[in-house]
Amino acid sequence: MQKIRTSIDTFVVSRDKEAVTHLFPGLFPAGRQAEWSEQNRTLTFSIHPTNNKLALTVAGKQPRESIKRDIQSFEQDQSVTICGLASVPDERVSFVNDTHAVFVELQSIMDKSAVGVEGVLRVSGLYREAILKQIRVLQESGVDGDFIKEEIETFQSIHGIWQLLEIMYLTTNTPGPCTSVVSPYMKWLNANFTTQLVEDGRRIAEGSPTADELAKRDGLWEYLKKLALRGHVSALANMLERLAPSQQISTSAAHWVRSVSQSAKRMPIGSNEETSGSFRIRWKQWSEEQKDIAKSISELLKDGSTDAEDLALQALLIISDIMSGNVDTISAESEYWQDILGAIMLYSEPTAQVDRLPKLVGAVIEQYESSDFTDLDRALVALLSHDLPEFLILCSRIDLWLSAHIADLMDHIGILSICRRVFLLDPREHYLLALGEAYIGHEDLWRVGLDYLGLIGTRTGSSVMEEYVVRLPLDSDRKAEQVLRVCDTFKLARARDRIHRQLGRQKWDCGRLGAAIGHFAQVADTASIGLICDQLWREYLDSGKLTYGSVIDSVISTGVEHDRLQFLVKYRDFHESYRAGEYVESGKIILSILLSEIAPPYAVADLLVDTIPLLENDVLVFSSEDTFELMRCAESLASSPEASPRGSSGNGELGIFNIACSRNLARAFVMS
Amino acid sequence: MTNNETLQFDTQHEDMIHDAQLDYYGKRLATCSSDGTIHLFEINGKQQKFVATLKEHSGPVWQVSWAHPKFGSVLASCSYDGTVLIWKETPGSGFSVIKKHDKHQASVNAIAWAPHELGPVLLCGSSDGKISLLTFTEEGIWDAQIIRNAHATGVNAVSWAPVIAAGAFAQPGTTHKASLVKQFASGGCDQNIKIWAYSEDKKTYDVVKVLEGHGDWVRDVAYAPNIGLPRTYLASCSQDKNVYIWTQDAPITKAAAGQNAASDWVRTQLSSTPFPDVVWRVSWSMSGNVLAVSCGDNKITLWKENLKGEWERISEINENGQRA
Repeated sequence: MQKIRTSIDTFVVSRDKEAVTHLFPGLFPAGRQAEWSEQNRTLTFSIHPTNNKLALTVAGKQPRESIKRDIQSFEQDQSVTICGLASVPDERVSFVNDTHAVFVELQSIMDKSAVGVEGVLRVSGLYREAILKQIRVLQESGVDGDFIKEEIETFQSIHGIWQLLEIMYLTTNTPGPCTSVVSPYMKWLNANFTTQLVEDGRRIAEGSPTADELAKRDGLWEYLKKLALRGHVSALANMLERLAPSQQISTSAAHWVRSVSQSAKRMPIGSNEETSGSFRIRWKQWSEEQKDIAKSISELLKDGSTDAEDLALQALLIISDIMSGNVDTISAESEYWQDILGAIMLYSEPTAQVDRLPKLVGAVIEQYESSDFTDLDRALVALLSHDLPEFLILCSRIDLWLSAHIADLMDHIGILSICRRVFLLDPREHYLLALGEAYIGHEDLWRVGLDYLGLIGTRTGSSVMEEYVVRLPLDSDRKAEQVLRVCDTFKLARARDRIHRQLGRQKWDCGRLGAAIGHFAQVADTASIGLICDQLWREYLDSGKLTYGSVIDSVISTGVEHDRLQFLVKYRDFHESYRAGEYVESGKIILSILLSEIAPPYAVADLLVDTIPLLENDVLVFSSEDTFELMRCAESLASSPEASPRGSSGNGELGIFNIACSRNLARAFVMS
Repeated sequence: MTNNETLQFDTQHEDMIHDAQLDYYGKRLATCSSDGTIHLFEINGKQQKFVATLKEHSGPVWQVSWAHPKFGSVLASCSYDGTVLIWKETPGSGFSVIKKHDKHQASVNAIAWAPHELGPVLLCGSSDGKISLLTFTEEGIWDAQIIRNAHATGVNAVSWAPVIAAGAFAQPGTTHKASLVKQFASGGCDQNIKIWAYSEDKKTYDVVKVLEGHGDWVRDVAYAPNIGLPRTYLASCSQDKNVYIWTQDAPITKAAAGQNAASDWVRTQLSSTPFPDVVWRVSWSMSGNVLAVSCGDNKITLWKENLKGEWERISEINENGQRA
C-alpha cells in the first residue's frame, strides 16, 4: 500500500551502479552494428594484470579461408583499444589518502590494546571529518556536471550511513546517560537530511519583523510545523511567542498560540540527575497536555464558535497533534520516512533505545511501497532493523569505499560476526580486497592499495598482495625501493626474492652490472652473479682492457661475496702489480688465484699463459715449489674437458708455458 | 563513465585479428591475425611501441599465450595451419621459433600454458578432436603427449586449473610439489566441458568429469585463479548464448584438500536470461574476483560475485561510441 509518497527522490541517491565505458571512437562504424556483427566479427580482450584495464579488439569469428562470401573491411578491424574500467577519479585521490591514514591508524590501535568504544568512536569521527571535507571540497570545486553532483550525493549517503551506524553501535554504547537513541537520531536526521528549515527560518525572521509582519510572512505555518516535526521545540516556542501579539490572527488563534508556545517551552528534558522513571512521569504529563490542547483546538474548529477555515488554528492543531505523538498527523506532514520515525520516537518514545528501532522502523516503512526505496533507503532501513548482512550488501551498491571501511569498522566494534555466519566469504576481507585492487591500478595510489591488501591481515590478503607486488612496473629506482620496502614491511619474502631477481635482470639488460650483482646478491643468486662475472671476463678477453674495476669495487664495498668476484678482484690486482713492476707480488697473486680455485675452469688456460712473462722474467718470481704447482694446474687443465682455452690462449701458448716452466724450474734449482 | 584514458592504435595487421594477449606484467601485447602473423607491442602507460612481426605460420593465427616470465620471454601461438609454435626472445636477436609442434591434423584452436609451478607445459586443443600437451622436459627436449578423441567433433577451448586446490590455500605446505593440482578443462563442439586430471599411476591425463548443460558448441572455458577462494570456479560460454559458472566446493578435510577429492560441480547461470548473441570468451581477472565476458552483441561485460553468492554485472564496455 502506498499511503504517502512525497519527495523521496529529492534526497535519495538514485545511481546507476553499473559503470559503462564508452569508447570514442568505437570499434565499429556507428549505426552499423548489425551489419558489422554479421560480417564475421565479434570482440576479444585481455585483462591487464594490475591496472584495471582491458586490451580490446575486433576479432574474426572464423578464419577467412572458411568463409565463402566476401567480407567487407572496416576501418577499425585492425585497431587495439586499451581502456580503463572502474578507475579512481582524480577528485577522490586526496580523500583516499586521508582515509587511508585513518584506516592504518585504526588497525594499529586495535592491534596494540583494548581501545574501547571511545577509541573506535574517535577514529570513526576522523572518517566522518574526511567525508564531510570531501563533500565541502566537491561543493566548492565550482565544477558543474553530473559526475560532481553524483559524487556529492554519494558522499552524503556515505556520511548518513556512517553516522547512523556510529550512533547505534558507538555513541549509545559509551558509558553515561546517553543510552537513548532519540536525541542522537534527531541530530543525525537534521544533519543528513536537510530541509529548507534554516533558509525558511532566516527568511521569516529577516529584519526583526513585528508580530503583524511575522503573521503575514509566506510559509510561516509550514515552517512552524516543520520545527515541530524536527524537534526544534525551543525555536517553535520563541517564534510563537513573537507571533502571539499579532492583530493579523484571530483572538482564539492568538490564545492558542500563547498556550502552545508556553507548553512547548515546558517540554521535559532528561538529565543525569533524574531517573528515567521520574522523567517518564513528567513526559507523560506533558504529552497529555499536548493532547488536551489538540483536543480543545479541534473542538473549537468544529463547534462553530470560530472560523473553521482559520489557518492559524488549523496549523496549531497540527503542531499540537505532532507534539502529542499522533502517528497519522506525523505521517501526513512528514517529507521523509526518516522524519516520521524521528517524530514518533521524539514525542511517543523519548527514552527509546537502539533495540526498539527494528519495531519502530518496521511500522513506519509499512506505509511505503518498497519498490520506491533506493539503495540508501534500504541500507538505512536494514541498519535500523539490525539486519547487518543485508546492510552490508546494500552499502556495497552505494560505494566500494563505504562497504570496505564500514565492514572493517563493524569488525572492530565486534558486530561483523553476524555477517560472517551468513556469508560464504569473509565480508571484511572481500571488500577490502576489492578496494585494494581498485587502488593498485592508480599510478598515485598503488602504495595505498598494497597497504589495504596487507592490512587485511589474512593469508588471502597477503597472497593477493604478493601476486600484485611482483607485477608492479618498476619504472624507477625509487619505485623499486618503495616496492621492496613494502615487501619487507609485510614480510613477503618470496615476492622480495622475485623482485630482486627481476631488478637484477633489468639492470643486467641495461648494462648496470654492479647494480645487477647487488640485486642477485640480495637473494643469493650465485648462478646469475657468476654469469655476470663471466661476462666481465669475456669482455676483458675480447677487448684486452680491464675496465670492470669500478663495477667490482662498488659491489665488493657492499659486502657481496662470491668466488667469481674474488677472482676478478685478484686478477685486477695481479695486473696492477705487474704494471708497477712488482713481479714477485704479481706472481704470488696469480698463483693464489690458481691454487684457491676461485677462477672459472675456462679461465685457467688464460691465467697460465699470463704467467709466461713472469716465468721468463730476469728476476726469479716462482720458486721450484711454485713452478710445480703451476705445472700441476696445467696438468689438471689438460685432463679437464671443460677447461679448454676460450680466450687468446691456444695450445701453442700452453706449449710455450710448458717450456717456460721447465726453464724456470732449472733456474730455481740452480739458484736454490 | 566516459573514459578519457583510452589508448587506441593500429596493429598494422592486414586482416582480421583473432586474439590479443597482455604479458605477465601487462607491458607487452601480442596480437595475432588471419594474415598469419603475430605483432608485438610494448605498452607503457598512454603510449605503445611496435616491436616486431613474427611470421612463421602459414594460416590464420588463432591464439597467442605468454609463458610465465621465469621461463624467459616465451610466447606460444596456434594456427589454422594445424601447428603450434613456441617463440623465445633472446637479447639482441629478438624472437625465434624454438619449437614447432605439428602433431595435429587440423586447426589448433586453443592453447594455454600450465601454471608455472608445473613447469613449461603447453596445452593445445584442435579441430581434429585431440588435445596435446607439449612439455619441455628436464632432459631439454619437447615431449608431446596426445589425447585422442577428447571432443570428437573438435576442441575449442582449454584452461588449466589452479595448482593449489580450493580451500587448501591457507594451509602450510600447499605449494609443495606433491600437493599441486594437475588438472585442466576443455570445451568442444560436442557441447561438453571435460575435466581432466593427471593420473600419477598412468602418467596421463584422464577425464574425471563431463559437465553437460550447454546446448551448442562450447566456445571458451576458464578456471578462476585460486587465491584463497573457498571453492573452485570454472566459467564456460557457448554458441547457445549462455555463460555458466561451475563451482566445486573445497574438500572438507585438510588431508583431502591437496588430493583433489571429488565434490559435485554445481552449475549457475551467470545471467538470468541468455546473452543476446553467441558468447565468445570468458576471462577472469588476476585475482579471480571479476569475470569478463565478450558477446557477439559487441559488448564486454564485467561480473562479480557478491557476498550472497549472486553474480552482479558491475560494468559494461560499449564500443559503439554512443552514450547509452
